[in-house]
Order: sequence, then C-alpha cells, then structure tokens
Amino acid sequence: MTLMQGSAVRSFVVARIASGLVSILFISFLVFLGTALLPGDAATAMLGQEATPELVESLRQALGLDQPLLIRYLNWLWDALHGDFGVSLSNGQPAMAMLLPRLENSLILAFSAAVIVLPLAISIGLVAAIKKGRPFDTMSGLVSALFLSMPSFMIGYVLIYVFAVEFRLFPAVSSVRASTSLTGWAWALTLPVLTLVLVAQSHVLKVTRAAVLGVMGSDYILMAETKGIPRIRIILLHALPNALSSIVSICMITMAHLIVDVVVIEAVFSYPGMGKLMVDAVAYRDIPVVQACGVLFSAIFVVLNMLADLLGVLVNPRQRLPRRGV
Amino acid sequence: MTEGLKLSRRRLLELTAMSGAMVLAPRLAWAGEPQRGGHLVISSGGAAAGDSLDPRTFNSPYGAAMSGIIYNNLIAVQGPNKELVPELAHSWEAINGGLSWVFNLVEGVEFHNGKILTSEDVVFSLRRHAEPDSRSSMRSVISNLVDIRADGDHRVIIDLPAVNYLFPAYMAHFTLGIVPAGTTDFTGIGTGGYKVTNFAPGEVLEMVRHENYFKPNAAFVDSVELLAINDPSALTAAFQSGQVNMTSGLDARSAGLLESMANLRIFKMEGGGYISFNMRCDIPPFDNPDMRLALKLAVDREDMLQRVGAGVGSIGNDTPVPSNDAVFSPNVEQKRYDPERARALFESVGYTGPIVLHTSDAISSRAVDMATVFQEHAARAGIPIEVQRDPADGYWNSVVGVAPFHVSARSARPTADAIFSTAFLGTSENNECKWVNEEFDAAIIAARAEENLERRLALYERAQEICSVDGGTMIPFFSATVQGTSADVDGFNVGAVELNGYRAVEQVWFT
Repeated sequence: MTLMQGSAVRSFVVARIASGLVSILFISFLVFLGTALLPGDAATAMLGQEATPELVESLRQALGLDQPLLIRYLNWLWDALHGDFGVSLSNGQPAMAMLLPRLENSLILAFSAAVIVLPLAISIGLVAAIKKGRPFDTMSGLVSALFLSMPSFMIGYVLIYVFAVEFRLFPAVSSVRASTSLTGWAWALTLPVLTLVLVAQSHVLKVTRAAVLGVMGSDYILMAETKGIPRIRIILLHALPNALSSIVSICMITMAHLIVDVVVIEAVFSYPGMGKLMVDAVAYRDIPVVQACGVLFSAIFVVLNMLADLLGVLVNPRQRLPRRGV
Repeated sequence: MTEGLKLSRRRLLELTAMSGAMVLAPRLAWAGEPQRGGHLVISSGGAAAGDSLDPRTFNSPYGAAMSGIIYNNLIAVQGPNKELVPELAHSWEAINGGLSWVFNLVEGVEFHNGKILTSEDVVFSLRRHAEPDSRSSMRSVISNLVDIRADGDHRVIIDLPAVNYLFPAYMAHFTLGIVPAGTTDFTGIGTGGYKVTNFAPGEVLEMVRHENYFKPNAAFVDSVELLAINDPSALTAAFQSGQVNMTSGLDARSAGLLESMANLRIFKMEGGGYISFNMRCDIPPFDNPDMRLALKLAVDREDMLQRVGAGVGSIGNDTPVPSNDAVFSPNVEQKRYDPERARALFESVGYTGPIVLHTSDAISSRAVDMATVFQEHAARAGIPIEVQRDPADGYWNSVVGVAPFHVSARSARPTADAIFSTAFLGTSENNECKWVNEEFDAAIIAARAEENLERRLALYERAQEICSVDGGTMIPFFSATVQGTSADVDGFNVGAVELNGYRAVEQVWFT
C-alpha cells in the first residue's frame, strides 16, 4: 500500500514537472513570436526618426533579421538553453547580466510583500471565519473587496499622494542602489510593498475564509461541536488542517501574481527591478532583453504554480491516493 | 518687446558670425550670493537600462542631462534667446570666407583623470561621430564635413563643404561632449563640473564636484544625483514631495497646480518644439496647395493652445521658427481661423473622399487630443476629418512620413537652419511631408552662406513666407517647457533649451 502510494506520488510529481517544462517551452515560442510580430522591425524602431535606408539595412544584417523566423527561433532557443539570451541592442551588454541584479531587486520587493501579506491575510481570513456574520467579517470583506476592485497602479498613486506628497513620510520614488543602507531600503520599499500587500491580500483572505467555513459544515465538525469543544479550538485544530490544501495553493498562486504585479508597481515607483527593465526595454525595442524578461517571468510563474499543485498534494493525504481505478 | 527681440537677435548673429568679445548670458537678479555645498537631486525621463556614458550614444532627455553635467562642449547655448557662449572654446571665427571655422581652446582645462585638454581630444571626440558604427544623431552633420584638424595644441579647424556662417551652433549639441583622445571605455571621464562616482543605467547617475573645474564661478553644490524617472506621474510626485530638487519635463497641464505650492518654483518657457499635422505633398489631395491652405485656415490655433496646451506655449504659423527665435520674421502674415475661406478653398479643390488623420500616443497624449480638436474646428468649415488613432508600437516608422496625413513632432533645435535643413529641405531624407519648393530650398542654402545680417534675415523671411503658405506641415502651436526647482535652490536661469542648455546643475546653489 505504502509502496503504491509512493510511486503514485512520484509519477504525479514527474508528470507535473514535465508539463511545467512543456509550458515554459511553449511560452518561449510565444514570447519569441510576439516580439518578432511587433509592427516595424527592431532595426527601424531603434533608429527612429533619424533612420536612413542605408543605416537600417546595415543594422538589419547585423541583427540577423534577414533570416526566416523559425531558424531565428531555434538559434535563439539553443543559446537560451545555455543561459545566453543575446546582447542588449542598446548597449551591447549580455541581456542576462543586465537582468540578474534587477531580478534580485524584484524578488526582494515581491518576497517582502509576501512575508507580510500571507500571514496577515490568512489571520484575517481565519478571524473572519470564526466571527462569521459579525461586524468584523463584514468589514474585512468590504475593505478587501474595495482594494481588489482598484487597479494596482491606482492604489500606488493614491498611496504616493497621501504618504509622499501630503504627509512626506515616505519617498515617492523608490530609488535604491548597492550603497543604500538597510534602513534606506526599508524606507524606500514601504510604499511599493504596501501597495502589493493591498493588491494581493484579497484572494488569500477570501479563500482562507471560504475553505475553513467549507470544512465547518462537515460531519466530524458537527461531532466535535456536540462534544462541546470550543469553537476556536475546532477551527484551529480540526478545520484548518483540512482546509490547508487550498490555502497553500492560493498562497503560491498569490506569490506568482506578486511577481507579475511588480511590473506595474515598479513603473509607478521607478523601482529598479525587472518589471521596470522590461517596460523600458519594450519602449526602446530592446528585443533580447524583452525576450529574456518574458521567459524568466513566465518561468517563475509556472514554477510557483507547479509548487502550488505539489504542496497541495503533500499537505492533503487524500490527494496522494491514485486517481485512477476508483 | 520687438525692440528687445531685435537687439538680442542682432547680438546672437554677431556672436555667431564674428565671435567678437564673448559675453556670458546675464544672470537674473537673485537675492543671494552663490554658496558652496549641499547634495542636489535632479531627475529626467527618457532613461533606459541600455544607456551608456559614451556621448555619441546620447539621444534622450536623460542623455542630454548627463552630458551637461559631466562633459563640456566647445560652445554652450544659454538663455531664452539661445545665445552661444564660450565653453571649451574661448573664441571662434570664420576663415577662408566662411569655408572653415577656427575654434580657440581654453588652456589648462583638466579632465577628471588629470589629463590636460588639447586640440587632439577635440578632433578625436568630434570625428568619432562619423565612424561607420556610429549611431549618433550628429552623424550626418559630422560626416559631411571636409575635415576636422588640430592646428597646434589649442586650435581646432573645421573645414566645411560649403560656406555656412551658422555652423558654430552645431557645436553646442549635447552629443558633442569632449572626451580624452583614444577613449575606448566610456566611464564618464570628461571636463565637466562633476565627475561620476556611480552609474546604474536606467536608474541613477551619482557625481561629486570636480575640484579642478576650469570655470571659476561654477559648480557650487558638492554632489549631484541624476535620477531616472520615466513615468510622468512619478516625476511630478517626486518633485512635489521634495525628493527631487530640480527637474525639467513637467506636464504643462499641471503647471498651474504646481505653481500654487509654496515649496516649489515653476519656470515656464516658450520652446521651439512642436506637434505638427503632416500632409504628404506628393499624394492627392495634398499635392494641391489650395487643399493645404484650406486645412491650415481650418484650425483655430488659440483654441487649440488653450484646450490642449493649457495656454502654455505660443501660436504657430506653420513654420518651425518660434517667435523667440533670432531669425523669426514678424512680417509673415499670421494665419487666423477662417472657416468661410477654408470652406471656399476646400470646395474649389472638389475632393470628396474621406480625409483620414493618423495620430497616436507614440507622439504624446496631446497628439491624440490635438487631432480630435482639429476635427471639430474643421467640421465648422465643412471639411470632414476622420481621426484614426494608431497603436503606439511602430507608429514612428510605419505611419510618420508614410501616411498621407498624420501627426508628428519635432524637438527644439539650436538654430532655424538646423530644423529647416532636417525637416523641410527638399533634399533631406527626413522631409516627412515630401514637400519640395525650389525657391524655399534656395533661400535656406543661400542664408547659410550670407555674411550680411540684414540680407540673411531677408532670406529667412522669404523662406518663412513660402513655408507658411505653401508647406506641407501644419504647426498650430509651439509647446512650452515647464521646469521647476524646490524653493531652497537659487541661481536657476531659464533657457530656451532645457535646463539652461543643460548647464543648470553647475549654475545653482542651495540658499
């Protein structure tokens, strides 16, 4: 029995990882195709208003834009598999070298937000479940829905207006660099992290509340209640472990969304992360950098989704049973 | 007003043509005396992670700002009348009847690495722009020159293909910063008032004072930080909150609100940049001059300036020469909104198809507003305009200069010759309207070679007349630059070129 269970888990993990890799490969093709289909080619876009036909032609040859699309994709993929996404069109630096320090900054931002938002939203969700139908539940639901329905950049601008322009507590532009002190980082990160927390809290809060309340309707909870166990003890020890699977999944998916939301938030706060790099690269048609950012963002997204599935299985013993042959 | 204009116009032309005694732009009267010290934070948009410190690659507002702090040119542009003032060249003069220009260099100028400036550095720095791998925006100008040569250690001679008395103004272009001869790795070694301590492309440029700076009364603050803020809302917020001490590129529409804040000083300046409606003169119906004139009379310029430019700017007359330019002619008749005459002209053309005006956010959000406002004006003259809003991606290369009727834009140039030569001469590759008028071309070419000021002004007057009536470019108004400093910054002078010819950083101090 245990042997069979173990192999079932193993094959599930292998299958999940394989499907993740196929997704990333497929996305890489979409990213390449998307950048290739941008109107006007990179050569004319780079030269802009100063373009002359002679300059454009020499640049097109230098960029290899005269070759067929599929050949260009396969060449690019082969290099990318070796960690080489080509060199930036604007300054000749390797795209990966430009990207890695920015990726680090983005991860600092996203994880700072995650460390705050996950425990906070889960706690509020639990309390809302405990106090179902009471004023706390209603209010937390309302506030949470309010921030969910506002676009993230809008929340950013409102926070800048209130905390940077009116009260001057925090900087409007989060300019950080290697020489910035730890307190400097904290000061600069406060508003962007707060924005991300407000954007990301809603789903975790709602799923936690709904999952716990869903389990609360089960027979064994009724049994516990009739035994006279206090409600808070029932929720923490009986309901929460059984709701954990969906909570862990939503946490992972929320982290994936945080990574994506930083693209917008970094532009709003001029924070030197990968999102801002990508936005700038699109504006300046720096195709290799756009491609590298696109593939890296989607890889992070796919990996976190995969972790959501795997952890969901690991914390819920029932899902470890073979799915076939019921 | 006209008198003052004439005086400064004459002074500019004298300076350009003969380079007599060089006068520094008079400082505005400020209460305090300059003081040393402090940390200045300025900001600019247009930055990218691919930026480099090689002056040849500068092509954005951010690059221009960097150039003006760490590098010097031979000549700088100062003040509202775009006066040419000495920088690394203390004087300049035309020889060989205007076919060659001599630039006499200041002696003892020290680069950030201790090297002393000689004419070899200037020759090296200028010639680089014409190299085959150069993507410099000055490439066409430099590669058309006959020669750039050193004559001794402190004289540089530039030989032109044709007489041009307006040539020195080119030397003030921000890409023509001077670097030490033989530089291959551009780490920001220049002669400017501040030397680079840290450069993170697309993020920040940090600098400290160059203690041996050759200008005696300049570079007052101890250290400077140039922040890259591309998002216009973030820029305004950072400036309002006091995080940034000085900035250009503020939105004209928020100027009024910013002016009411006690902690800020706002400077508005009529600029030479504009957003235009381009009519392709080689495609019907715009090949008919009556059609072009009908459309030019169908735009209410005052209304457009108020509604799109928030009243900050100046009315245009379909020539690229703004009224504060030295060669602007007040005698060219200003076109006014005349729906009746426009209607009559339009009906005489007899064109019945749709008139599609292409526009896009790629130019600016105002470009879209302008097209819509024009549609309304033209409708009152019975001219049906269809506004087509194109995606920003690729607009510059698939629509500008291609579509029969489209919105485009040009930034301010140091001289009327520069903008006429780039965008209006029949022989220019950058002539987006494909407008060819032999009399106009002849006037522009002749003006370059005309030593006599009155006769040169007359040539420019004729060129503006022809361009205004016959040209394919509609210029409803010139935009204004809106710049600002925090209230504790003194010594900021407003110039027609942003940040006073990009030299504001070395001119300001903290009170």
